[in-house]
Amino acid sequence: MSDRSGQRVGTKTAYRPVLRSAPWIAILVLTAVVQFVRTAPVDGAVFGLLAVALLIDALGAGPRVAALSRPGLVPVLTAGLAAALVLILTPRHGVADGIVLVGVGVVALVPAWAGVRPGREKSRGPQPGGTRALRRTAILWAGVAVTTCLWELTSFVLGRMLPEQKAQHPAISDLIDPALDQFWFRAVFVVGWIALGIALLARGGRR
Amino acid sequence: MAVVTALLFAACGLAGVALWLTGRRNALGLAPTGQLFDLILRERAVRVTMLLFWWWIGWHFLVARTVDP
Repeated sequence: MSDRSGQRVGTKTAYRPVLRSAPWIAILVLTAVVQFVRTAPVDGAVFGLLAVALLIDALGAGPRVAALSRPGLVPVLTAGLAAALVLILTPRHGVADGIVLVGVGVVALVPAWAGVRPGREKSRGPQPGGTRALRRTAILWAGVAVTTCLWELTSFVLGRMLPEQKAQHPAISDLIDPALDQFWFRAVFVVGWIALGIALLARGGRR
Repeated sequence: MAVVTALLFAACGLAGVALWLTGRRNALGLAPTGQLFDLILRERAVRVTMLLFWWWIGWHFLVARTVDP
């Protein structure tokens, strides 16, 4: 087996990218299945396509993509502010919201795929002796995430199996959706959502 | 039962906030969450998965019909 530069590599080394990506691909596949079950085929297709793309990439069969330059803070904040204003001030579920979300998706997922060249900032790698603390923190975060997802799935399944008792088993969407019709709650939600996206992109670009 | 469900979701959210705050102070042997993200987001699969989930939350709540009318 050879790598992308044509050099022969050992089997263990060759399959390492697949093993590292496998849990994340599995999460995307599971999410796609849930989306199809809840009759949201477009959402399911998006998760499914990204899972396939990541699998192809992990197998080394995809094209190599050069890392992008890091954008300046001012353009990022300006774009974030513009998107937030549209999402807050225009009617929810409207065409403007749809256009903004498609644009935001492209602007976010392209650098997420390509990665961003490191800037001059100091390395934010693990501190000496911090590996154990990082592992502990990762396990706790994974526990919170898995508990939330399992409880959401349980509520969803019970709501589907017992439609007459659906109000007794609300999913997160059922709880948050009514509040989003309130202007101030939607404003806080949008600002928090955009801030989280910028933080993820700022943290996650280096490779 | 609906109250229990909502409380468990709230507890998960509060646990996340507590983890974030505790890690920021390097208390209880925890690392800052930002440092953890710096590490795991170096992988393309992690970056794409997390950004896709983030994007989908916005799509789900702001554009798509979240719940049956």
